[in-house]
Amino acid sequence: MSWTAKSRYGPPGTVTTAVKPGPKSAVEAGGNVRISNGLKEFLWLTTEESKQGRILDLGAVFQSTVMFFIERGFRLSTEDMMRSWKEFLLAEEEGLRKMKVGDGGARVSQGMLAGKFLESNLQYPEDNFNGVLAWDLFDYLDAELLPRVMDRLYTILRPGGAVLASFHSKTPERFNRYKVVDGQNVELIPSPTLAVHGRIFQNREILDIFGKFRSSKTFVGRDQVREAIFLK
Amino acid sequence: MAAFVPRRSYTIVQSHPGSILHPAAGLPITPLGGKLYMWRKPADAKNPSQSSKVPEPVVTAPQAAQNSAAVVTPAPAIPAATSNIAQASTQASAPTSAASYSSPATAGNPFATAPRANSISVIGAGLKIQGEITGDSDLVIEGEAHGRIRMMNGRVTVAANGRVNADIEAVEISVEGSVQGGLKASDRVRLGASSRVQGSVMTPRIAIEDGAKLRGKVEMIRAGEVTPVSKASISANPTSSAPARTTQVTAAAPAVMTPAPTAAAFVTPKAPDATPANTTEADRLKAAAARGSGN
Repeated sequence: MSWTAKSRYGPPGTVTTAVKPGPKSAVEAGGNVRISNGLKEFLWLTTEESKQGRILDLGAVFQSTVMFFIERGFRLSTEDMMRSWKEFLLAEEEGLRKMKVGDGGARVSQGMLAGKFLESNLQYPEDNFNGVLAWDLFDYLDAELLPRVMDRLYTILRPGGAVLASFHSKTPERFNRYKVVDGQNVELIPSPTLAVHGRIFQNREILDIFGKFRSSKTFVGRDQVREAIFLK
Repeated sequence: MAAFVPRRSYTIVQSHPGSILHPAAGLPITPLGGKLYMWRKPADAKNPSQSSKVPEPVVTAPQAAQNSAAVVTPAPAIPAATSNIAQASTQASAPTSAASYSSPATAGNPFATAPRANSISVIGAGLKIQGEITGDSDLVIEGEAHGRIRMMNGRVTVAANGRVNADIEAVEISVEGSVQGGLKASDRVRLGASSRVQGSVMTPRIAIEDGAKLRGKVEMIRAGEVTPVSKASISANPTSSAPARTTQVTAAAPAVMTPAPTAAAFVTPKAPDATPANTTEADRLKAAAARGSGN
């Protein structure tokens, strides 16, 4: 039907406007900000009255996140673990590609890669941090790497230190980065996928992963993302 | 050409007999007949300052060759003994690199363009410097630098293709390339979207663009304890020694931050305060729990 036909048969004085099909994107709807009760609890646990807490952020660095913690007196260290892991794997793959046939490249295993990765990553003194932020991380880590990372996190955390981690309840549609907006809101920044989403952890499996830690609290958001806080 | 003929009225007056002088240069010109005359502008149209001054050709100092590859332009006031860049410039740069900064043509010429208070030194692309780089000028790194960089009165910029494997100390540090080492700025640090930094960052103000990759520690030092170095003081005393080293005080202490000059992107952390008005949500919750009111 042509535009002329529409206007001829439509009621007089009405104006038809084109509407895009489909739902509104999350960014348009609400700025892609989600409430994080886990962050609120994390701040409660890591804030010390006398000392300056040290926080390790294992996600991407954002200005707002840095300033949020700095303004509250924390010392912040950042280490984008997902990106480091991806770059490490790419470098290893490139090294294997250049390796001559018969040089032993076939003996590389996932456990070996995980050990090699941790030789140059997460290198901090023992009992150094009051808290670790690990949003959207453990779902993506390799099965061999994950328990080693947990051991390392347990080592670098101070007694009483907290780990804030999030776990998906269903396979996520996209990979997001987390930017702290305020004390209980985080903004999800859609980012290029750095790794394939590994698996959906059940609650019991999450407790097993944090075997050395003691459980604190778990929060489930409207987006069905579980936030869990574990203490050393 | 007729377009350049000034439409002014001139009067012929008789000067003293025997010479005809050019009004400005005082040189004898062609005599006219038996009498001697000189050309003179009317008094109201004449600027007395122009008549007595001999015009000189204006010589401008050449601009620093910032964009040329493998060119290192030293600051005019950097002592050669303390500036490794200055030594490198004589070896690696073109003859036009910077010799004209102290050119006699520009030395006493009031019309010559004055050198900037903080000139820019450039480690061009393809140039690799290893060692300690010190000085008072601004530094742009488009190549590679290994060792240590201390520009205590200047700004260090690591360009997108620049690679630095060194600790950097400066007033301002701006990174677009790759840095492996600590950044210590007495004023501000800016990490661009394409920057990759591995090392600690210590600064009163920091700006991190989305996409920047930082692996290390961020500590806010107190700007009030860092000797402020203004551009005016640099120009007034360019060879002054380095200012006092920054004191590593984190923002937890009650601090009086220097207000940010103009850049809105730079964020000065608010000084955490123990007063109830500035306590965090967690502090309030803790206080509530301590009072026994629960949360």
